[in-house]
Amino acid sequence: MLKFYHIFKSMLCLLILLSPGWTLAQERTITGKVMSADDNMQLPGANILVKGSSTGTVTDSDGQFSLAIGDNTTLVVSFVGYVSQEVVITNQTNVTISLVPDATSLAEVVVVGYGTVQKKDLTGSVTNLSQKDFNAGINPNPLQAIQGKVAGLNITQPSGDPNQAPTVRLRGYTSLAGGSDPLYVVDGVIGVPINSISPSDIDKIDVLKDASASAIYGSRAANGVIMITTKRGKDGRPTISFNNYIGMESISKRLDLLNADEYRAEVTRIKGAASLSDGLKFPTDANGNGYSTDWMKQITRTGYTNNHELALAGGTSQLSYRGSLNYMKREGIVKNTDFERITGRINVDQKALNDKLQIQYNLAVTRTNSNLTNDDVINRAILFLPTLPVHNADGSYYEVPGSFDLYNPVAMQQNFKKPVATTLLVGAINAKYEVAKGLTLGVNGALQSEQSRNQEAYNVNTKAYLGMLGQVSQSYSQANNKLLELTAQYKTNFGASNNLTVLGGYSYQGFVNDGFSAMNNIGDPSLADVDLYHLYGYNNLGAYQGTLIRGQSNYVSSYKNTSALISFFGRATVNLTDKYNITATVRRDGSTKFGANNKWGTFPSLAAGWTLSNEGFLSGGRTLNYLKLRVGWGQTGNAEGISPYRSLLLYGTPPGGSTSLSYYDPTTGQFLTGVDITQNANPNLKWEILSQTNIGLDFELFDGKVTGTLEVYDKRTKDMLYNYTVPLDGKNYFTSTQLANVGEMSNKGIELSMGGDVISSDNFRWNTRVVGSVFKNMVEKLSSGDYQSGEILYNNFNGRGLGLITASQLREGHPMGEFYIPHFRGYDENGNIQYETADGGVTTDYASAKKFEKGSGIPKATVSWINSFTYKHFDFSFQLRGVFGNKIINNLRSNLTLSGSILENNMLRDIDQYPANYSIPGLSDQWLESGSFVRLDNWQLGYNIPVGGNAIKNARVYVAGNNLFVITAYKGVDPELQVKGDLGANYATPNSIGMDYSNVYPKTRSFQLGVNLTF
Amino acid sequence: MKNFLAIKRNVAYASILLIGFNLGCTDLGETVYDQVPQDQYGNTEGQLNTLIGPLYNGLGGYFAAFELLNCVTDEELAPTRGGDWGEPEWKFMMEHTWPTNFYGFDNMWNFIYSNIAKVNQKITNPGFQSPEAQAELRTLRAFYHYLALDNFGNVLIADENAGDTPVQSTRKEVYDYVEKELLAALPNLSTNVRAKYSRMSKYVAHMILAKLYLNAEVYTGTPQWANAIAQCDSIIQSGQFVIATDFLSTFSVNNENSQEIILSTPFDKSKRTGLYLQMSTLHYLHQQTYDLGSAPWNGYCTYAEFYDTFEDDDVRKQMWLTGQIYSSSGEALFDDTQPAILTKEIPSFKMPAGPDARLAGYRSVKYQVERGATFDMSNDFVIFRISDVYLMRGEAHQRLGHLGEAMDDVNAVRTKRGVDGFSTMTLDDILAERGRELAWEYHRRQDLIRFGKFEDAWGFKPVTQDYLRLFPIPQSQIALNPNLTQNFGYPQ
Repeated sequence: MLKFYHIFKSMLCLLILLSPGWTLAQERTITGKVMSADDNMQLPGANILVKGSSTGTVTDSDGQFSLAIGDNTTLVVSFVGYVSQEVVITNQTNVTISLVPDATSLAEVVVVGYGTVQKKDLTGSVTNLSQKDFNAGINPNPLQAIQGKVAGLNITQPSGDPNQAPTVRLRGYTSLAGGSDPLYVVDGVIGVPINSISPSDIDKIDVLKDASASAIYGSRAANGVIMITTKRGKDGRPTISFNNYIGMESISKRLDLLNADEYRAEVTRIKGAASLSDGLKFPTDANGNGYSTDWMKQITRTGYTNNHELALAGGTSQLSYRGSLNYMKREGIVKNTDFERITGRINVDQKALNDKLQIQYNLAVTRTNSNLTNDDVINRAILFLPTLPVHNADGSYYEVPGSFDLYNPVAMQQNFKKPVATTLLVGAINAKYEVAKGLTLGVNGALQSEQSRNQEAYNVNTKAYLGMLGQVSQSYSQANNKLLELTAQYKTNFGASNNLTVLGGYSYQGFVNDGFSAMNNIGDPSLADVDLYHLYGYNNLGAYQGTLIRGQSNYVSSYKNTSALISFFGRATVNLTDKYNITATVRRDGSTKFGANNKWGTFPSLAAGWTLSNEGFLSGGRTLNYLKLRVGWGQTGNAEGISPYRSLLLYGTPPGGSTSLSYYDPTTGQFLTGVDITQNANPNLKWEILSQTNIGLDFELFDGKVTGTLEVYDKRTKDMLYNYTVPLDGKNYFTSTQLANVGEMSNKGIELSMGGDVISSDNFRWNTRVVGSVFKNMVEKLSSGDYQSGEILYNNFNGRGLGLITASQLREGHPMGEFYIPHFRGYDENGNIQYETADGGVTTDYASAKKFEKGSGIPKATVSWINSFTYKHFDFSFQLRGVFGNKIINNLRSNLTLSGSILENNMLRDIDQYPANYSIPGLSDQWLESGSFVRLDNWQLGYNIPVGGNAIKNARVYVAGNNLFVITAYKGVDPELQVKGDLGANYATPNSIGMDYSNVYPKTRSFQLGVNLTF
Repeated sequence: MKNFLAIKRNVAYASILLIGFNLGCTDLGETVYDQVPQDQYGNTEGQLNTLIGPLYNGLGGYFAAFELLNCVTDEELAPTRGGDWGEPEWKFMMEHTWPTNFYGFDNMWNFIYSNIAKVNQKITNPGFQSPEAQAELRTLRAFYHYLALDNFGNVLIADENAGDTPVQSTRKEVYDYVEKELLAALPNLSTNVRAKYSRMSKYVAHMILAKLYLNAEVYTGTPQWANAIAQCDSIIQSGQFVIATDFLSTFSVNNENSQEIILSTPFDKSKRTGLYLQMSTLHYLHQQTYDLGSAPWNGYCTYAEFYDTFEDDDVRKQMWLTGQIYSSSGEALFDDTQPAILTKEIPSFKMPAGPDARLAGYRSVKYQVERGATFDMSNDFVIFRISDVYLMRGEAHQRLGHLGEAMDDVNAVRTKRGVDGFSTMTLDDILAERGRELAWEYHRRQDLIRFGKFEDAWGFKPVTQDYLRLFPIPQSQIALNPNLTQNFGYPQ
């Protein structure tokens, strides 16, 4: 019976839709078009209402509408994110209505975890960006597209390597070993790799910055949550978008190395002309002339980027879709390196059961193919002597035998391959069903499957790869996870303008990782001339001799681990009148990875908002139109750095086939694989807890012309994870360190984002925005009871004979990244570096030098200045980004000015500024430089071609570019360096912060030419 | 009403769904796939063997722990060669001004006590309760305690009687403990030296006891020369070990069959890596001499005075690389434009960059360098060997005034090495003989201390104070373990 009723109702609806004749009672029909005033794009889905009635319509996908009206009607035109407009219709039959974007954007819907809120009701710190805010230029990664756009979100791209992901740090550095990257949630799917997403598929990015906003994600939210919403289809005629660009990249700045003639001259000056008679380092051709090679030029090129995207969107009110296909290939400027990505995405939305049931289907496939760089090639290109030829007369590569530092970089580049291919599949279904008025049940299920193949081959016929006897390997790994979430939300209005929303939910995410690898090598250098590298590379591992001759235990290896995260969460939001908003959230997370004594953790938050401008004492002002105060507190967790099983006492053989447990069996005379305790057990292992207080002010000035947000935060990490040193007393601990929750770290900061239309006339508009943040980090505590961090020395200062010299040490009461180094007091007559001692004297002994705090590698302030201009059909935008207050140790310079070692490697042109007998490098503030810079990050000049007719809706051409210039006093190549702050590959010391080393993939300057077409 | 019922039904379905997931998905136990929880392993003899084996892999850390610290002796140093080898540790080890937070001390302590913890973890395993297994594990544990008392003096005794938190004992108490443990273990230890190659045989226990007694005066103030002789007798009279005719064969790539070796720790270039002495000592150009996979690091060398104690006919002198460096095809090599000739003299500890700095000091190839070696070597590292036993017994006899027996033992070694026996012999002669026989085998610090020479000036080292005979307890351990106090003389 019920079924018939539904069918009947559906048919009735259809009849109504198909029967315009039913409105014959009205007098006439007006047609029109609704546009956006800022970019002249049609606005589909805008509401048109006859004022004072319930009659109205909605614009179609072209922004067109048609409505029957009476005489002297006033239409109210509204669209989310735009200022509503009233249009008086006298005798027109066709109108074009331009809606001005709502500068306050208060009507915007902001995505928060497991739901959305209107921006005006926000209590937490959330920055929302949409496609129009994205950076111009070549941005393979969504993070690059929002670099500089969010106050407090510091995105660093330290090199021009097309395969290097940017480093993202939100509001400082909160962890050492717990993981420092934000949590990415893409269309409700938690933990999608961010670089798998094509920026052009993204509709919105919401950055949840404070604990009030992010605590709903519990033990994974401490580093902030970045919510990404991809584009979806809309009701209306299909649109086809075709977006293409090509780009060109070259090195933005080169190291100022000696050329061959200069090198010979400097050698003569420093070591005497006799040194030039060394035929190995100063060979001559058949005519007796020396060689001259620019090794950096030899290994680099101009890189070209191609990006093509096709997207198709459309649908009906019941079913809409968007499908897109994106292809990008970006060549690195170092030869043989590139990045290629193909993404396919289908988003389908279905409504059923009187729109009570809403289902979203998302399917995304990303395939990336990368050819990775060998960092050492860049390093050797800097060091290799310019007086050497690439090849010998017989065509073989020129090498300098017996030299410790000199390896032919071209030989290394041409005899090395390292492709990586990754396929990521993300499929998700998200269904919501309104079972009763205000009560919605939801289920969200997702499957993520990532498969990677790494291949590597090193030719033994190359001096640099002889030590490893050549090497060929392949490894396959899979990372799969399943997500299931159930939610129930109840929303009700009470009183005149109050509402209450309560959300409860359950989440399960299970992870399975496994993989295997196989490796082989040539086995013996005498077999080098068989030249299997060129025959097979890594494609026939079994053909190599290594397994027969050397019998290593690490030729094959495999691993598998699983983990699960189970959560219960809830949120209550109360909005009272237009003045007060209160949000409370709680999440209870349980993880298999935590120790037996701490399986579950609870993460609460509470925040309130007060719209002061709606109070009598502030309303009606002309200067200050809007003012809202937000205060929030919450606790979030961080545990991504804990790998499975870290809390357990296990017997094992290290995966990866380490020989560290193999033992000699005297009976058989063989080495066998043993089993032993692999780690200290820690049944108390748990998440780090980050407590955060956030105070924010949202404001609008001068009739909404200027909008902004000012925020202050105070964060404190407790139970900070690190591999702490434990007492080795022969009883309790088997290895010298244990992953445990001990330390504390704090971050305090201020963020400001403000701007608006400086000029806004009919033809010309200039919008400008300043986004800035300052923060201060402090390591508060590093020991407790059995645990002590010990001296965590990091930021290695590299140089001949300087194995263990470090520029930084983590110390309680000092910030992370702080340089703690001696003061330089000139050279003595023997060219020895003199350091200042504690009593103010000088010493040449590094160990006796006094150390000083000399600033930090972490910037104090980051500011972006974002500008966009439109003039008729032209638009122009640029973004300047400045980073201030950080210091850099120019380690590259210290090694490339060492006169005494000039015969060992090439040097900088500046070498003549250093004593000729300077031969022992040393760490001091001599190499310390300011790392502040201002960069023209990106710019774009576009022209919207006026198109008539129906075929083409929008046509646009543009030129753009990245990194046009950098203003800096820094003498090195580029002051934007790696500032990760988390632990390095050894899991023992932090990654370097503010150290300029020799193997940095050069940064690039790019130019781009693009065209966008929408049909 | 119908509507209301429908809602109720939907809510009910949803609730059932929720409850179902909750029941199935709140289990937070971990399933391990590529390792095994420690209480689920060790049930078969094969599994037990795979647990004992890695304890001896752990013993291989002996080389790495001692390699660095041998630079405190008069037989080895790493001078600053221009910019190379300028790290502070090479200098402070040489001149005995080490800080208590030196990583070399951490390495030694960690090597000793992490291995003791692993032995303790096995010794209570029900599978290892046979008298033989217990004796072997106790001997291994006693060996580590012997190393701890020799290097650090006042250390922790960690065994099943120590409870959860071992307390610091005096050097004398640790001495007594090691003696008691070894004497108790002796009856049940194996005498099959082939089956127990590189493991704790009965003769290893005798050897540790011999070392303990030989140094008893240093350790406790009371000499035990006669006991030292008795322990040496037990080894020599077993007839299981023979002084090799070919001196260098004991250190060859395939030295596992050497009859000289009492205890070694086996290495392999690929299956058990970690022996890379050639990388630390050889000159860059030796890459071409031995066709090595990568250029060596050009570090450790010996003092001219030490080298000069070797007579020309002494076959042991062949352990040193001297003079011109040649390629494997016999071509004389150049360092920059200057002939690559290693020099005996080291002009100064800190030398300006250049070929002279790089070529200073003679290098050891006592451990045969395999042609074409990449990084790790396959030679087994020798910890104890029989000629040491003869020299120890000779020394003990000499100290007791048994001059004839003393000379017989020392000359038994000398005559095998191509030099004439002593006709008269002093204790200094014995120390020098030990130097020649055992150079770079990491016994030198103990010997210098026993002969009262550790405080003397040599090379670039000034006269130093005698509290330095003990290394400091590592600063990191003192900071973490309230049961530890620093050795006398060091900053507390």
